[in-house]
Amino acid sequence: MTKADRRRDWLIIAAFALVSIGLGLGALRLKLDASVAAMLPDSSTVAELQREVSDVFGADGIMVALVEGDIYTPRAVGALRQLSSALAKIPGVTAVTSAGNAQRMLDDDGFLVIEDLLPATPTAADLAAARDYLETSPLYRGGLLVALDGKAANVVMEVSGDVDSSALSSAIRMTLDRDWQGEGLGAVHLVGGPLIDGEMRATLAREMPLLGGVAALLILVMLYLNFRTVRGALLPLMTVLVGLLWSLGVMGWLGAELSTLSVIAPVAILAVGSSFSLHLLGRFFQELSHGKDKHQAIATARKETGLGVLISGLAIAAALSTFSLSGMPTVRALGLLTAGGVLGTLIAALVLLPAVLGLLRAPRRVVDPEQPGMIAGFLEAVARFADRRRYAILGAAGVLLALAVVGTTRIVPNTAVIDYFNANSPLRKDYAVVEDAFGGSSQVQVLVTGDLSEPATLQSMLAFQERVATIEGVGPTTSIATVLRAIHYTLTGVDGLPTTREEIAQELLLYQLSGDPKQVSQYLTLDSQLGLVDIATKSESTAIMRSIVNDIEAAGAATLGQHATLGYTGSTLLQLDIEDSLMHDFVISLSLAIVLVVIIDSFVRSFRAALVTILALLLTIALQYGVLGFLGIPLDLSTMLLGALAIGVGDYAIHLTVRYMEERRSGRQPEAAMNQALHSSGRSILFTALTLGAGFLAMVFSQFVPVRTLGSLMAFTVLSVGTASLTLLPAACLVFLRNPRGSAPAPAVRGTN
Amino acid sequence: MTDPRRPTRRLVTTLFLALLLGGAVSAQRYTTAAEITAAMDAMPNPSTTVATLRMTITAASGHSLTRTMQIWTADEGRSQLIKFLEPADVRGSGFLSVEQASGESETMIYLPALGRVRRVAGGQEQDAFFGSDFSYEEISSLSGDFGDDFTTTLLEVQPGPVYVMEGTAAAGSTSSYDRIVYQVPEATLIPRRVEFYRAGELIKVLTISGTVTVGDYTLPSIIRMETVATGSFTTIDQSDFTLDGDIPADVFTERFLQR
Repeated sequence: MTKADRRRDWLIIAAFALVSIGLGLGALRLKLDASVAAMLPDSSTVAELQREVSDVFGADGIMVALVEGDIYTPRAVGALRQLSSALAKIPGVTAVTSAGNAQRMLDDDGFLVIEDLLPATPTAADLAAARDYLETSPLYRGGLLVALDGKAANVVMEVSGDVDSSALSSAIRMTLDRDWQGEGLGAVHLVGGPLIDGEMRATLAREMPLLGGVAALLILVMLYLNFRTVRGALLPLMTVLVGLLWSLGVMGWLGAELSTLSVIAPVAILAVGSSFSLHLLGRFFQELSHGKDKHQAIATARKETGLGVLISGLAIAAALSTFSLSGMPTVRALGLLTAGGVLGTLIAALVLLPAVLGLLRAPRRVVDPEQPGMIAGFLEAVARFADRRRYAILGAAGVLLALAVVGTTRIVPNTAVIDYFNANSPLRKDYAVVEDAFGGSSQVQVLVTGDLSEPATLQSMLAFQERVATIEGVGPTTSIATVLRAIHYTLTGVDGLPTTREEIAQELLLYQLSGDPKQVSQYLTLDSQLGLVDIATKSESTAIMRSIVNDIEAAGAATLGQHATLGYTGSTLLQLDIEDSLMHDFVISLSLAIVLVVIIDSFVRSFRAALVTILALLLTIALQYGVLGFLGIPLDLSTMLLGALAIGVGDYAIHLTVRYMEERRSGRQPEAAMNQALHSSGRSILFTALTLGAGFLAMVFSQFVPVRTLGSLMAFTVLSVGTASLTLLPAACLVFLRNPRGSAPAPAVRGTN
Repeated sequence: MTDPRRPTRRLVTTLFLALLLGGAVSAQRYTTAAEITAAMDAMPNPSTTVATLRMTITAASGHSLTRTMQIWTADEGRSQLIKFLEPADVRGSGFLSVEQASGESETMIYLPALGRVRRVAGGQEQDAFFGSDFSYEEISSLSGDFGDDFTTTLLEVQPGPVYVMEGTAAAGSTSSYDRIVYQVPEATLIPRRVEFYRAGELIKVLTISGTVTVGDYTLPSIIRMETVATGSFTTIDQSDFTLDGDIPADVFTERFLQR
């Protein structure tokens, strides 16, 4: 090695160090947004309507606490009053409704009395009267505030979307623990959007380094098993570290935010990125074992294997970058992060790794992938099998493809956020308890535009609510019609709505004199031209939620829709919107990823070679989704991204094609060329599959169900791609790619099976 | 149960008395908060008032509701009648508040659509006045008379001169606010801006942006109250004053309320 070569290598290392430090500092600026809102598509009409509802009627979302205990006792009532008051003081809580602060209207011998439902120190008679009111008033009946058996109470909190969800959830939980559970009154259960946001953020902050660490460890083990040297294990990780730093740093400097899906990124970059170095190092060691000196080995590895690595890296980055076309910020962030990380790792593998190898002393002992041994024996058997059973392999692949297509038709989408969490997690258990008592914790909000001072419109609003209440999965519904019905009942004893415009206006005027104006303003604008119907729904799978929403919309069209224009929004619809957007992204990114990978793979100087290579990938992707269908795993936030991710990650099959074409160009006949390619590249492909599989397997330690599922399926996918690369791809090459460009003419196919 | 006859509704009366405070004030400079407060207290009150009020409540979203009312007050605000003129669906509705000898007010409302007079239970001092941004408590402070609830100090004198006063909650204060800051122009001695604070946070801002002179009285004509947190505000525009006129005694009766 000349002095100039050594200086060049040191300069490269110094340049990488400087750039990595500079960009890496940007990673410190990264922000975390794990909220459900961060998943919302940019141009969502549902989200736009939600903002309008929030602007006009106040609340951004609700949280519900269910407190267990014997509610109709003076002690519990006192605690409930104290709890409601304390909760109302928490920053971000805009309103609290519970039996502890609810009011009742009474027509007391000509007086319209609006008073606290429960006094601070209630007598037995007060408690009995309150119970009777809660069970009969149109505002509260049906166990809205206190369970019919008196053994639990609901505390409904309206919360602002402008506050830190983790801090808000913590403050609410602390207050509940202190003022109820801590008083020995009973258990508490809390549900609501901010709680989910907070849980997701905490999990994300915990898991990103944890999963990355586990993946790195597993990858280190696989790399060591492959190369049997410490440098063979550490150098690939060095290149990945560079890619990660660059990618996270650029995002930080650009002011981008990490989201729930970002948890996948470090693992994906680690797994994919380490495969680049794995191939280069494999060739480097192979050339050393064949007697070449260090610099010749580096040059050959860079020249021959570097092409496959470059193409595979570009294809992976291109496939991952298709996510950046998504309408959802969270998917875009994942696309930028992973594509950037892969590109950074690719550059480090092609530039930094040779420089480091050039400065390090050549290892004393190297593994020759072609030397006889267990793996070589296995690859020999594989090559023989692929040669002799090429048509049987292609036929079996066809049968598997058909089966996979059948499985794909059985896939059910479900992107419900609640299903991110384990079925036995405390959060899911709390949801089950609260939804059972309250009827639902998700919301459908119906924005009603029309003349709401018109009795017929209000009558149809009530009819709409009554019809909606019969839908399975729907809980309590409230609107200005509910409030007016309660006022009218109090004033006239008639369980219905006022029948003239004057009655409506004047009963509301009377209420404004004595009651809380917010009770009206949260459902009706001052000019009576806009109204809101709140419908609680259970947090079910998105398929069930879609069915509930369809039923609600049908009920709306048949009743209230005859008198006013209806717009639907709320947390339930937002989740469906996210799902629709993901489905769109899924189709776009998968199609685009396939096209891009074919185009980039054709840089190996043969479009046909690219098509043959991607055949193995397509089969495994079909198998992935077939498995989803047969195992009943839903198509969710993560599994929708699986296809494009797998297209990119699985493109290491190109290394076999590249090597096969290299052997064909050197004059070997197809069968001999494939045999040689399998012997030399097979080991790297095998260990790439094992390394990638081990890396993705780290995701099974995640608390998020979709991330866990993604990890298992990606591990399955890379192992499938490995199997297909060693069986289907050789068979396909021997049938469809006998004479790639630049190769010696091949004799006619010899059918040996 | 809350006493339905509690005198909270008297504050409605106080509002309109406060609005009517005024008088020909010659330019002079006060040097202490006590002097300014005394001067404000010394302003003459009309014995009776008849006026038209236009109250517009505007939510942060821009949706608004305007109601026009006619108001009669007598006995230094102890008797008060409000009749709604607009919008059409509340026309004829009325609100009567008469202070009894015991000091408690009897408050009743007449709603034509319901066909009978109803007595109305008292709310809290902090309750919204007819669903507006004004609470009864704030209405009572329009005159700058913060009663025994606040200890006032003179913060500064701005060009005009305009006195900037600060009131801090006195011991035993029943106010929901612990601090108020108000500006009083020497020319009118009617506060032109009042800021209401609770725990250091600005809760509401009251602005009097127009005055009108009727006879010997200078009266606020445009009053605005904004709730800072919600962004909603209410504007009261008063006009067509008849001051110190004869108001028949039967105006402040249940029978007239229903007429």
